[in-house]
Amino acid sequence: MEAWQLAEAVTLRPEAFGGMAFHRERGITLEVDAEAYRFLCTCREPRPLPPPGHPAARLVPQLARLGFLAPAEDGRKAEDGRKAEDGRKAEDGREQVQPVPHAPWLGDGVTLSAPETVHLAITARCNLSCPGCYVPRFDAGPELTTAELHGLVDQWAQMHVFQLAVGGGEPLLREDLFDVLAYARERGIVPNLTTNGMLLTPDVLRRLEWAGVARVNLSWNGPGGGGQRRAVAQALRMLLDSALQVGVNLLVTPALLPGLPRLLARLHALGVRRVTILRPKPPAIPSEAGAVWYAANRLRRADLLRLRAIMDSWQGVLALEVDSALVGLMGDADPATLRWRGIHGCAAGRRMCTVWPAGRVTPCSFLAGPSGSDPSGQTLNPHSAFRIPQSQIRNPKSAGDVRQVDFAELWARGENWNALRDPTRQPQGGCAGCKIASQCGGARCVARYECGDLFAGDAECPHFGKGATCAS
Amino acid sequence: MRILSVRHSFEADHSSSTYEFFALDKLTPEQRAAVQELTGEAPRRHLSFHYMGDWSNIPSDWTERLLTLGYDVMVSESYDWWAVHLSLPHDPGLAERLQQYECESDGNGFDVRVAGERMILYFGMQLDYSAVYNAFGEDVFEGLADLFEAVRNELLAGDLSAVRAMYQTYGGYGEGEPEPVEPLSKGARRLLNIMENY
Repeated sequence: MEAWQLAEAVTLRPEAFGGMAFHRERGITLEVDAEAYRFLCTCREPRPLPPPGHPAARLVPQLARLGFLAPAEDGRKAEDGRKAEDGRKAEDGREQVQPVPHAPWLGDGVTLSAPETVHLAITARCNLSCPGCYVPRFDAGPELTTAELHGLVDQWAQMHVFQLAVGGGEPLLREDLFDVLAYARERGIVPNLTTNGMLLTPDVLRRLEWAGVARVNLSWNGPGGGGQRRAVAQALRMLLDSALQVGVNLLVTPALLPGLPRLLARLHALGVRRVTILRPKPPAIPSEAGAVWYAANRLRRADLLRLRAIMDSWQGVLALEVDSALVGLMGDADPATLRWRGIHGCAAGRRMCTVWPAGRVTPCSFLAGPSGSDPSGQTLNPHSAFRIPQSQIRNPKSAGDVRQVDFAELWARGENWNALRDPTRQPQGGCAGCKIASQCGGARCVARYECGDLFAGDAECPHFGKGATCAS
Repeated sequence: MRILSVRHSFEADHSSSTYEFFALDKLTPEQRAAVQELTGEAPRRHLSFHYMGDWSNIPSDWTERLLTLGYDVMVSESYDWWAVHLSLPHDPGLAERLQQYECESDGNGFDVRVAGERMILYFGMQLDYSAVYNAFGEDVFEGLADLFEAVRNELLAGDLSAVRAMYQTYGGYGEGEPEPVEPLSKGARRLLNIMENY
């Protein structure tokens, strides 16, 4: 194979450290240095294999194996197809990957020029009432309209956001869901969906496939009850029979731990190959009910060690993922290896953000302070030993409202998110001495909840010594 | 010009981490007992650990402990990140010569550390799987272990070609240059060829 070209399904984006490339079919994200990024940009046109000794000669086989470069003959065909599509959409320049720099703000290396993934809570409505649900009922106001969501997708496409993670509430309650998902795919953003599965039908699955959804994550945890469990299992069987990628989200609580091996065995028997383990997070806003739920369901150090042992026993059978608040379970890993795998720990406000149903933008779903002024004199955790007035709690709030300000401006400005984006701020407490601190950093929402400080240690991490506190 | 990170998301990630330990001689009964206690595995001369999913890895102290319990070569691969560890009897003179070639470039490189009566030599390389597959055929781990067994013998004989090859690839940023090695040994040339092919 003499000549190579960038694969059609690749989105490129410059960043302060070089650039990023996202493969929309394979779901692979690369970070590359500036030289490699420039090389990738030149590959938009067919180019011969670099001669031996040329720095790019080492890069091409790797990029080809990952699917980012294709033999030019195929590339030309793909290019022809793309040109035909571009003929219809040339005016907005969607598929045109601009050379460096293309954006008004290129990020600073800590914060990206745009989120990799936007979490879109498309509705706060839900057909279930799961205890511990993080969707803020306070987020009053009319939901973003279809036209507003299309406008947002347009902005995200211009910023080269890679993926959209659509959830709720229950997203299938939005009548225009399929339209929004399909529009995102059309604009080069890969849509994914998280659902409780209650509303899945064969027709819904066909429409999700039509809309180009890459992966559907089924939330396994619900309020419970035999009927609901049966319905979720049925939804899972339907999903596994579809052409969609399927994952199961499992919120692991201390109560679930004893039955976790049996549950994993059941999921495996159903045909599930990929399970995402989620850590219970503290409530984003002060509430007695939220505090009680979290106190009963948080994973303490011993629970996390037990979880790790269970996950170890499933090695090679199920692909188990963990959410960013559980990167501490990888504490045995070499930090350079974690860097290589693109593991960044808590990425709130730096690599991702959440857009709420009425248009509010927050760093993530769990660092979402109240939209109004904070009630003074409260702690986030009324049961915490650290009695810190609410006014002193470092609480990243909404960056603003996409109905008022362009998303790109909100992201670049990151108002109220400064602490999260400060490269000089390092996690303290037990996280300070951890060898994987740079790739993990603990769960910031837990630190804020327990200690009132975003940069306190994650005192429940299994790599802390017993009896560790926020600052020790 | 290089890739800084590779992350898989919605499509199943079939990547994994593999750690293979090779003992050149039979383990003693004491070593066998210690290995079994540490790992829970039957203490064979070729031990293999395989981890799926990006959250899981070999416990951090196993590498050094197994390399001081009779294993001489460890070959690992994690998401195209290759590393070879060699265990040699501690020889202060040789250690000092080897340390001239210590180098580091984004986790790749070479270093020497002393663990009791052993020296643990680390060779970290970001290699393309197809390049090592082309070099060694189907059993890449065995192939790399054979190559590094030869390298180990060369080092014990005083030929530092292989670590020179590492320095040539990943070093060159420090002050002063280590002693040249001419000509490079067969093992070093082969190693260099694999690294250059990425």
